[in-house]
Amino acid sequence: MQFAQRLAVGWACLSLWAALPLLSLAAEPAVDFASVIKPILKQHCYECHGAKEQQSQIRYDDLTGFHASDRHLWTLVHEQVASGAMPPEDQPRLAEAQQKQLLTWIEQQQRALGPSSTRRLNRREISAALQDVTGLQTDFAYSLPGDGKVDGFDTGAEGLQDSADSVAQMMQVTRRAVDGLRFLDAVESKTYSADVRDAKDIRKVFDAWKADGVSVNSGDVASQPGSGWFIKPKWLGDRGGLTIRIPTPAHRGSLLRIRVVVSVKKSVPAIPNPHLWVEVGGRDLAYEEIANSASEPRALEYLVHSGDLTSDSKGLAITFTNRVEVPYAVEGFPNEEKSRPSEEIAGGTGLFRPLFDAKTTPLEQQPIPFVVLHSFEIEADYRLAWPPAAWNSKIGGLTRDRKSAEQLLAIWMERAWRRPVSPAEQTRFLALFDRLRGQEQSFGEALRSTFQAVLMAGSFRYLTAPSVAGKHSQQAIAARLSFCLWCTPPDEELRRLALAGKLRDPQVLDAQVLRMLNDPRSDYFVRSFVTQWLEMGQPITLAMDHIEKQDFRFGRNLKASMQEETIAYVRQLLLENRPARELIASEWTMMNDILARHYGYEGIQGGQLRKVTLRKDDPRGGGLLGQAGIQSMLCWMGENWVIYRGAWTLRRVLNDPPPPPPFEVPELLPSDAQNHGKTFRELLRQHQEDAKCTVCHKKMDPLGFAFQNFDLSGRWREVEFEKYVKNDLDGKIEWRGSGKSRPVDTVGQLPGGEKFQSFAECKELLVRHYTDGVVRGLLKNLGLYSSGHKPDVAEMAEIKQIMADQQRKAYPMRNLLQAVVRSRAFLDN
Amino acid sequence: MNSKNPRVSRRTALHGLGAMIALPWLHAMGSKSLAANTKQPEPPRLACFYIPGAINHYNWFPVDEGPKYTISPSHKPLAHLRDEFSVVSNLLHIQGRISGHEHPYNWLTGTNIKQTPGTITNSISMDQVAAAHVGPTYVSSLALSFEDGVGTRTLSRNAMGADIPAIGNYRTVFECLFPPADAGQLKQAQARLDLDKSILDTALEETGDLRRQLGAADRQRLDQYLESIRAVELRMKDNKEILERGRPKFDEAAVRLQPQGKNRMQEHIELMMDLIALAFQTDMTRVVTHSLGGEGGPNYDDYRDWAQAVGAPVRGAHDVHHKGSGNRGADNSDVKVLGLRDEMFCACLARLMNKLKEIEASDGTLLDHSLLLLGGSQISSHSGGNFPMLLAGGRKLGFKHGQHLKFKGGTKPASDLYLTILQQMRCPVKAFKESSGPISELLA
Repeated sequence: MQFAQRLAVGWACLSLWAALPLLSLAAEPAVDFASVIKPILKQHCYECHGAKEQQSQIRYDDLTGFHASDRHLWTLVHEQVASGAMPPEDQPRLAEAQQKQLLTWIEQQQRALGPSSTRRLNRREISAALQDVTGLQTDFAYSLPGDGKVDGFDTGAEGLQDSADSVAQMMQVTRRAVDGLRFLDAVESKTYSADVRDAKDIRKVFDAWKADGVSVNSGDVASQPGSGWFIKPKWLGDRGGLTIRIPTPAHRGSLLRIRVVVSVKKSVPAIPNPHLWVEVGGRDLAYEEIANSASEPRALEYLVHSGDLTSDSKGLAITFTNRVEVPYAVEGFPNEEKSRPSEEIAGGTGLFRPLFDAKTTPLEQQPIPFVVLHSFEIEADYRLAWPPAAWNSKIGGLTRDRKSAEQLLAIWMERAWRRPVSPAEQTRFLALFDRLRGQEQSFGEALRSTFQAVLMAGSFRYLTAPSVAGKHSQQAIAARLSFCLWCTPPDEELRRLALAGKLRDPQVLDAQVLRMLNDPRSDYFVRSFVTQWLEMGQPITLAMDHIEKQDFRFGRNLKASMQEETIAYVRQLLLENRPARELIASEWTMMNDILARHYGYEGIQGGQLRKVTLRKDDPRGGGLLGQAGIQSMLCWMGENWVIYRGAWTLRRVLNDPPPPPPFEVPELLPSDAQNHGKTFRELLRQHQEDAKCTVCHKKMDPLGFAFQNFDLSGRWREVEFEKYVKNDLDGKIEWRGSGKSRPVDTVGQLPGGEKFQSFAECKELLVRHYTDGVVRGLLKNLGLYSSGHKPDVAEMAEIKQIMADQQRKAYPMRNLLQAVVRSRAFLDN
Repeated sequence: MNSKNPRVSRRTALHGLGAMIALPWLHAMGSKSLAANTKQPEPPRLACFYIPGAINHYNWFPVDEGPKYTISPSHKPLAHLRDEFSVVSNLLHIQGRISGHEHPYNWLTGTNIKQTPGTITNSISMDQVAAAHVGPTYVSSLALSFEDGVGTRTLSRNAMGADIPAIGNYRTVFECLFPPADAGQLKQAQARLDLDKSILDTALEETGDLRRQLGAADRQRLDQYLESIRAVELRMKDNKEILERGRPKFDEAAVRLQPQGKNRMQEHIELMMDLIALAFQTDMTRVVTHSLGGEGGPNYDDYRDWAQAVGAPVRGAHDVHHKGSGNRGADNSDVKVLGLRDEMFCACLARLMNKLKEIEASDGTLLDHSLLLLGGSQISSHSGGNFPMLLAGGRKLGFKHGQHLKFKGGTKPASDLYLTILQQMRCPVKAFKESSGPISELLA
């Protein structure tokens, strides 16, 4: 929606006070806008995009020239005119000379404007950069506000603005970051820790700290001397476990460190692994599958700012819950739910636990998975000795003198600014240190404040575009690459390559992309890119968002796994360098135990997603469009979301976004009384009769019908219901279809007019006719995500070239990413 | 936030006697505003209240117009304050129109945030324009809500259109409103401001160097950062002066920060409004927005006590905020619930107005210097085609009340009302969003 910026700025112009950026930086045009370009627009465009009518909400008659804020609008004009899509077929064409004038003018203007992708770090990057420089693995972003987005991406330079509020918040966050460090200061923290493997009496362990106000609630825990404390599983919707309360830390910004060592204990190997849910001060810290045996237990450590936690009159609660959501049965035990013993809800987890008598069955024989706690450590007012030992910084013999401060500051600055730092630059900050020391601040206090000033400097907060980074252009490439693929500042190897000036060498770049993709940190890239590209921030079935009031079938584990499938699928495409058509169609997908249950596959154990070849008769097949997480998120409370699904597919997958709906269009309400009993197709036809709606709905609705086979949980269905009603199942809410059922109607057509009868046919047609569009969209989005700006006209030509190069090889996914990294858009602009 | 503490504060006891009785803290300041106490001219105040989940328009809009209009069912609790407020009908955002759940985003900004899927391209909200001009105060503005958060939980957007996080916790509001009471802490806070200033000065110099090496388009972005740092420094300078004056004196023990009830919607609004009155009286801030957590809003449980008390036929979690929307007729039971809820909100507003009336300003009452805007979207198609709006207070700011002002449908921008408010608050602005000019009918 390239024109939105322009509209937004247009409105801002109406208000004299607006502090929005209004640029007028274009150099003197070679061709005059008023005398040459405007008449062309007037002749060919005003009729539909002028004062009277604004089709697609675009208007040209109020343009006064090329302004930076309109650059995307002009890219759109260039794209449409160059491809011949505009003016439309039934209108007079542009004369050849006119077309050339217009296109050349746009190209010149964009070139003259230069790059504009220097941007501040977004919220998650700030957190990652602070983690990198401090060595503190805590979520610094928690108290930062969200970022503006460009086309759904949080890396767009235009969305990453600054204001007094964001700077004030940054002051708080950077203060916290430096307050978590100590240099020569003594340890002042308070630690409560115990190895509990042989501790029979749970209460007794905590009695030692009673005077401090530490207490425990262990109703769901049994001690087993020799092994540890057995935390019993809780089922979805139930709370409880081991709760330790400590006194609220006095200093609000201080860090709380929690470390536990745990393993799993199962009487039968086939029962599912439990998840350990860690909640601290009302905040959800972790939800992790525990699969480690007692001989190789797992150590989990969390750092959290006490200022981000809430405590009550009894102190700060730290709760460890053992949560099991995968349904299972154990031979020899009846099902606990006896009212409907034979009822099988496909993929459901409503009726799943074996029945046994907890009083008479020894702990070790109970058919449930336990999380076994070996030891715990809780440290309040934690501070990390900086620099972290792991860095091997080779500065021995620190004292509280200026020389030590200078040494520490040098390390801090280079790490924080992601580039070499000149002595002159360092002097400025050292002067601050001296001044603060002069005001009788302690060595530690003065140094922490100096460190904070380094973090508030532009060189920390901003990523410069390589072409304007001057002598640091290699470092700018390294930072861009690293924040893109790992969401961290550059590592040792990238820093070294930047220093050697190697980061424009295509072979070096290809090798780095390969190395970085194969590193687990690339998960950050795949995760943030895929979730933003596919708009996966939407909850899976909104109605079930509330953890205590949800359907058993939509537990946290299943919902998370549904989203995880899509992310893992794209990751696998990249790792294996699969052809891009597999975004649409393949024979495999990624599954874990709970997804296998959801889809009706057997023999898959464990929470880890892995590649699974699909059954030949699985009507979904592989590919994004058949994934439960996608279709469930595009569906809400059992209604048929044909339009929404169709529009999303056009927008996010086919690179053919429908324009926004016109103002004041009545919404379609299938549940409205007067619409009862009508099929969705009838309702849509009714809606399409409205002339305002017909243009776009003709494109969206017929496409949307391809996905009618997916129910609200994203599973396959052959029949659809007239309506859905709320039911209670095992005390939890479920939404069930009711009334008459009818076979699912999936007849539709693609935007180009190709007709399909089924989901499978639709996918086949998409692969055959639309793969180019899918790849173009992917490249545009990758470009925006990685370089922080939308492609301009020249970069669109680059994308075209990449496509021409890669088409013969069927667009291998990793090669596409490598080509984006080698492009001018990434390396310069 | 639930308290099992049976202690009945003096404040609670007084509450039972009715709102006309002055509250304890008011005695501490002599029932006077800070300006009245210090014999300064009274500055203007603004509070904007948003009713989420669509207003029942059947009960909201009065049937007739003009100064002799009949009070509508939803406004009944305000009847005795008839001359202190006006109902303004048929205001809309002409270009910034949206439908559905995003109204908290655009109610005060007038921007159509749906233009770009996946992007929120909002612009500054009216309250923030006011905040930029009516200060300085210790807190430049407050965004309140039912729960902490951004998005639809807040009504305030900064100059960049970014959300200003709203606060839902009474104690957090209270703590952020006032300088530390303890002399040692006060001194520390002052020292911290000096330190922060040195840190920012150093950062500012370095950022200036970085800026110089960039091209024009990129430089503009760094400028934004530099300006923002300078703005923060200015705030710090203002705050330092306020810190020197220390914490205003009032009966702090009487300020209630713990609700008594569990399902506490009405009590929540009242507690927040008490804090607003306190903030206005002590002049710690002059601009407040108050939402109830987005169009989804609080859930049924939060309304349960109230619903039982008034006999509202609430059945399930979504009733109060959702089921009543859509054009279902005045007799639909869900629509009726919304009407009762609107009436409850008006009762809370009446309580706040009474309270502000009790506070003596340097000239008239505090209500005469405070503008209270109450509104939301309406259930008819859940659209922004006609925002139900009610403006109260501000007689000393030149407002004329006691009327139902109804414009021709689809023509009058809400921005005109916002411009009127801003100009009467003496903000030097000539336009807001799509405004065509101030609404003279509202002015004396």
